Amino acid sequence: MQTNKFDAIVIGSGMSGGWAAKELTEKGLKTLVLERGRQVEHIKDYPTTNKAPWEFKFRKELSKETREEFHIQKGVYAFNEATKHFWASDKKHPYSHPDDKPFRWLKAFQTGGKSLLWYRQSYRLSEIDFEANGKDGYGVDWPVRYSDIAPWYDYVENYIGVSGRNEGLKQLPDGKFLPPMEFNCVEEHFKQSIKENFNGRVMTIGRTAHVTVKHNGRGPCQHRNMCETGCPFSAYFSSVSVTLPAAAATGNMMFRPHSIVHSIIFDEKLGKATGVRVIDAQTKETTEFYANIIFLCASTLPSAQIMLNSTSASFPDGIGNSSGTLGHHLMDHFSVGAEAKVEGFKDGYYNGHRPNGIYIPRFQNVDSKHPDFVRGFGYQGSAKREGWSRGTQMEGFGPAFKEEISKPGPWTMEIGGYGECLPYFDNKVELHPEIKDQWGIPILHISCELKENEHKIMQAMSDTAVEMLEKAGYKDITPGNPNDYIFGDGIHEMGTARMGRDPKTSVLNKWNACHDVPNLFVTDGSFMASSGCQNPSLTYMAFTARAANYAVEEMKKGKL
Amino acid sequence: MNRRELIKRSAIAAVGVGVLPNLFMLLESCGPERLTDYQPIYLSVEQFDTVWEIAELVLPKTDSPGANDVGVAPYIDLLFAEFFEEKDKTKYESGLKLFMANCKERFGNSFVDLDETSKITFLQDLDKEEIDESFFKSIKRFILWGYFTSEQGMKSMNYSPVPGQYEGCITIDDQEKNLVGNR
Repeated sequence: MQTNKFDAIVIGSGMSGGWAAKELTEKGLKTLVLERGRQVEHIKDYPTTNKAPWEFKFRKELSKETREEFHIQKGVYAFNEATKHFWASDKKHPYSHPDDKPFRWLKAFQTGGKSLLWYRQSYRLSEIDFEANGKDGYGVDWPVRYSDIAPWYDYVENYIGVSGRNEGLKQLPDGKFLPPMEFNCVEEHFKQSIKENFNGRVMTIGRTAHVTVKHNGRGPCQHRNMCETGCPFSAYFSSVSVTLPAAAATGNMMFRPHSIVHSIIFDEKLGKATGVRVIDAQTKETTEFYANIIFLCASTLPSAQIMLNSTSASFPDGIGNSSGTLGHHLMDHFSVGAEAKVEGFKDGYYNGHRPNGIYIPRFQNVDSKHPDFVRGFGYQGSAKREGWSRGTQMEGFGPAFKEEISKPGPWTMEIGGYGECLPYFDNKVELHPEIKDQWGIPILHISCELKENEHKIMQAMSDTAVEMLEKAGYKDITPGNPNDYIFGDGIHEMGTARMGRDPKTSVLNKWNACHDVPNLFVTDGSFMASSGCQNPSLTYMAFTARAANYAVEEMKKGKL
Repeated sequence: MNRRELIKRSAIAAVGVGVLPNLFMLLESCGPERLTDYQPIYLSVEQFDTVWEIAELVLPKTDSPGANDVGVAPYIDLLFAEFFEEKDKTKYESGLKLFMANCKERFGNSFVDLDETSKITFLQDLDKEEIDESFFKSIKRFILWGYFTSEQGMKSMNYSPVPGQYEGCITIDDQEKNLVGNR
């Protein structure tokens, strides 16, 4: 029987939505999952995953049509002709920003969202991160501490499978890891150099959501490094391959693609959210759906858009926005690095395309205080041997040239920092006062910039990258250009409905529920009260699982 | 295109500039027969044949296939027809025209009609030029791209689409080829 009434509604089916769907359905809740884009089924809808470059007209390079339709998305490392169907069209999904504050919004509007496309690095926040706002006064104090979330990190890691190595660091807590991937010959050398030259600094292998051994019927990873096309071995975590199938298996999930949430319905008398207004993306018809609890997991910017667009007598400026902070404190991770040539190691090579790199956890402001900036940064990177494409920069042609570039070239080592961005009130997203999208929803106007602390971190990230490569004896060191970073490039947008202890200065409480609307939970990157410098997806998943379990408990007690 | 068509085309070209040479001279001047009967979709036949010759000189057939065994020149023709942005297309096309004109000026003959030594001399001189975006550097880039992303080109190296295991540090000898996959 067709019904519009459910126990729970989950808005979004990506990293967070998939976890909400799994947890709620496994606890027996009849759950409607709304996805604004098309349905993507595991394996069946990975049309390019076994294709070789020569099977594409321009060998995976972008056609003129693609370059035009995805003029913003095309700048991402993971965007090519083999992955373009998983990115949102810039033509169909416009947004705006002030001319002097460029913003690159990288987005995926289909089942699975960006969980199909992510780089899969999975790091825990530490007690240092949860205490940071309270200690240095930037942002509001997190209403949780590491011990609150640690069991949920365990739970998520055990379920999704994360490969990595425990290092016993207080700034990067250990986890429940599958066997780590290996360093290559030059990375091993770099690791030793860091250990010898920089007291207390550690290099570890990337902690990544790949199953390096068979895990819960998935994998193991075949080291093709084709992840963003979807993995036929189910070897990396995506909601499409892991959490949504688990939710579907309960029989409690109703999945509805092409469902754009216009707004959340607020009942003034009950003081609760009672449902959502959905526009069918294809027919543009509006339907209302109702539930006891609502999980908003549309990803940071769309979640802000939905909340700001959900106005009522109680909330003229957006649902749950009595504090006036909704849409504010938008953060991202910014990056700069350096690369170098590495002499020697001529008889060293690797076998397999490792979908992972190295990680150097934060080392600033851990035990001592840096004079120039608060918070810190970590590095990711890798060493590799140059391939045939070096020939485009070399002199020569003919038989010997061909022979030479068919063989592995010199080694290079590159590292790039990920810096922590502080939460600023005036880094914000708003509804555009005039322009609406084709479904009649105001588009987003995004206004963000890096400030003094970020610029100082940027400089330190660049200088320190050069210093570490120099100490290792590498040559021709080329630092990156800090101006290459555009806000949004980190694809870690977060913080627009931050959690906090005080309803006057934050949107969400410690359970990811709105202070103002107890049955509305927001568990994508929106809730982040600070950004840390770690890749955040694992944290979104852990908080989502925790919030979902809390919501079910409260429902059972009759409180929601 | 067969030899007769080639002659006809050359004759028309000659008429176009107001000279009607006798058949013997015509045969002398047009040099060897085209090495391919591929009809270009964007480039002129002369331009295409020039690209064809350059491609084979940059990546000749050795114990692995040559550029023209794997269709590099038609690929570059396709790039001109459909891939390049207008302004790049203009740049590369005028680069190609200048290449052909300079060759004629220096050797008194079309590039395709030069002997092997002259062809190589001409390319070597261009290759040494310290110009960032020279025509030869660009065309070399497209030749390498077309070759090493073709099926035979990739399979001439250590093509490993599904490696299975990852081994971080192995020892190789100097015969080892580039490891490539489908990414």
